[in-house]
Amino acid sequence: MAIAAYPATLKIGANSILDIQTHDLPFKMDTAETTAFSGSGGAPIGTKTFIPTLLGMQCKIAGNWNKADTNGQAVLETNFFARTKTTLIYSPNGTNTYTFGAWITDYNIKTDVKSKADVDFVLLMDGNCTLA
Amino acid sequence: MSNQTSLVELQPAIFVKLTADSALMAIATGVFDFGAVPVNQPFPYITLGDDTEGPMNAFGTRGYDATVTLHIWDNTPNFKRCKTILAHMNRLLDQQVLTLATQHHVGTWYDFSRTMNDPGLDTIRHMPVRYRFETQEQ
Repeated sequence: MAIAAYPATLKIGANSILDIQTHDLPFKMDTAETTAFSGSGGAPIGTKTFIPTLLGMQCKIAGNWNKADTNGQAVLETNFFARTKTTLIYSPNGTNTYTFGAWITDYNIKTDVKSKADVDFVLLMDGNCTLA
Repeated sequence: MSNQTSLVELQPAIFVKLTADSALMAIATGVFDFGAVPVNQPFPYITLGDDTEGPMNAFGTRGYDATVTLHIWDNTPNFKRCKTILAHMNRLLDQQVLTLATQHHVGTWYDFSRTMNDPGLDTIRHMPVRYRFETQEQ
């Protein structure tokens, strides 16, 4: 059954990052091709085969720019300029968590005179992700 | 705890902002709820009504994207007084701080206005003016 996404959280330690409207977690597995002449591993000739290699993830979070969020967005801003790795805890449902360390590779404050101030962060996972 | 809609907070806040301004109130004879204009109220006056609202949520916080349309009514032969009132309303509301009862006011934007000759005797000048508001519960 589908679930609503509104209980989702993205935290630094015990503190939710405030004013976030969208985030995702696009894990990606690199692969090495193992296709061999005459087929490989029983695969039919003329088809490709692979093995999984390196796991990685780069995600984007977006929302309302909130400089006053001292335990959330302000930490991301500080860590971006200080080149400091941040440990984040992402929960799509408010219960299950994905914990990972990340470098903040993009910090984009967006302003449009006709609307509110928005922000995007791009997080590059460094190392493994712990699932709970 | 904040209200779970911005509409109950916007109308009184707009009313207070407009009626507290002596320059505007020197021209307009009053600001009224759309259905509560006194009989024989002298022109020009302003009515409040025609709201819309949609969500502008963030995770963990409800937010609102609303519009409120105010109406300027006059009985002069042209729209000069209506436009003067519009200028005062823009001075007071467009890109200005608005104090809400419980919610955080993100911003106000002047969105639309038009001049209308009401049908019939063609003696009433009507100018709807729409503002867009963004708010958040806190």
